[in-house]
Amino acid sequence: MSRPVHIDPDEDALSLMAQGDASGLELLMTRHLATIKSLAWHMLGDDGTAEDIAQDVFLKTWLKAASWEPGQAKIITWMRRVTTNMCLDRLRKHKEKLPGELPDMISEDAGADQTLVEAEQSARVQAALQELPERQRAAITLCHYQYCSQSEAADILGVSVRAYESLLARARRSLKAMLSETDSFKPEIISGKIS
Amino acid sequence: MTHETQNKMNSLRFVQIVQSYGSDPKCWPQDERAAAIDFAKREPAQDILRTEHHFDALLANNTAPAPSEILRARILARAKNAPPIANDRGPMIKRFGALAAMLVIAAAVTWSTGLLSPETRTEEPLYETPLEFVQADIDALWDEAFF
Repeated sequence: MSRPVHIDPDEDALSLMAQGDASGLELLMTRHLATIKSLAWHMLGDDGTAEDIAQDVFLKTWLKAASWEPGQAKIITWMRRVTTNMCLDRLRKHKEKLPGELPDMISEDAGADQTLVEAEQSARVQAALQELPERQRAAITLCHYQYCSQSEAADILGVSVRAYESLLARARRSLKAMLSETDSFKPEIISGKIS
Repeated sequence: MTHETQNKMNSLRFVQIVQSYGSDPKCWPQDERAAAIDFAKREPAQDILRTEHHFDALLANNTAPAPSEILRARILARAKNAPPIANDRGPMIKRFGALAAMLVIAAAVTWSTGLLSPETRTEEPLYETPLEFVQADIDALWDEAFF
């Protein structure tokens, strides 16, 4: 049985990188640097560490470009997997929490109150995310912030689709409970029972 | 998730999907999406969708800061000092290819010189005794049968 062949939209960038052409790396960064940094940031909750992880992931990709085999998993899936694993490793090694940051978005203009409320909510969500067990945090990050398909996310986490869904459900339930304690979220329906 | 009843959607499964993947159908499992979208049109489904939509909006508000320009420059600077590692399988294949070619040439040379060399041109091997001759013949038959 032949394996399905995926057309990788980043093949142009990879092919340049394989020849040692840094413009391929620039192209890949334009497309995915924000995505990879965002994944690391949601996982670790710290801007500096997220940038360090993103840097390592892009350098690994640069070094691997020449031996990359087209037609297998997309490079972005591989990059997400590397990022997730690096974040999980870092979280396991440094059990102490990384310093969180309150977003610096407060201004003096007319919308300042609204901005302040949003900034506080964002900080609460980020703090609650950091309280989740690592794999639940990874699952919710891949689903809600990376828009990964069910199979891609399960593949990245190395679990079955059913196990991934279970991680997601538990993550959302825990987050709702934590955020309702801080009045950030007032669920009308928690049980979700409908007829 | 592979469900046998791909086209069937019930309230329990709908709630499971929405409470796991949120209110945005784009995030729902691909093989159940169409059925779930149909189910979502029902009145009771709207309540849970509203709740989950509110929660999704809260999550979506928590966006990561954009990558800094310093980060881009740092990555490029480091990459320029470390060229990509060439495919290790390429040279390996080449090495094996070269070895195989050398073996073929060596075998061909041995065979041709063997044919041409006067001292090995004898067609019949010389045997000391008739038993040795018979034994050699039997060995040759075994070789033909199994190799």
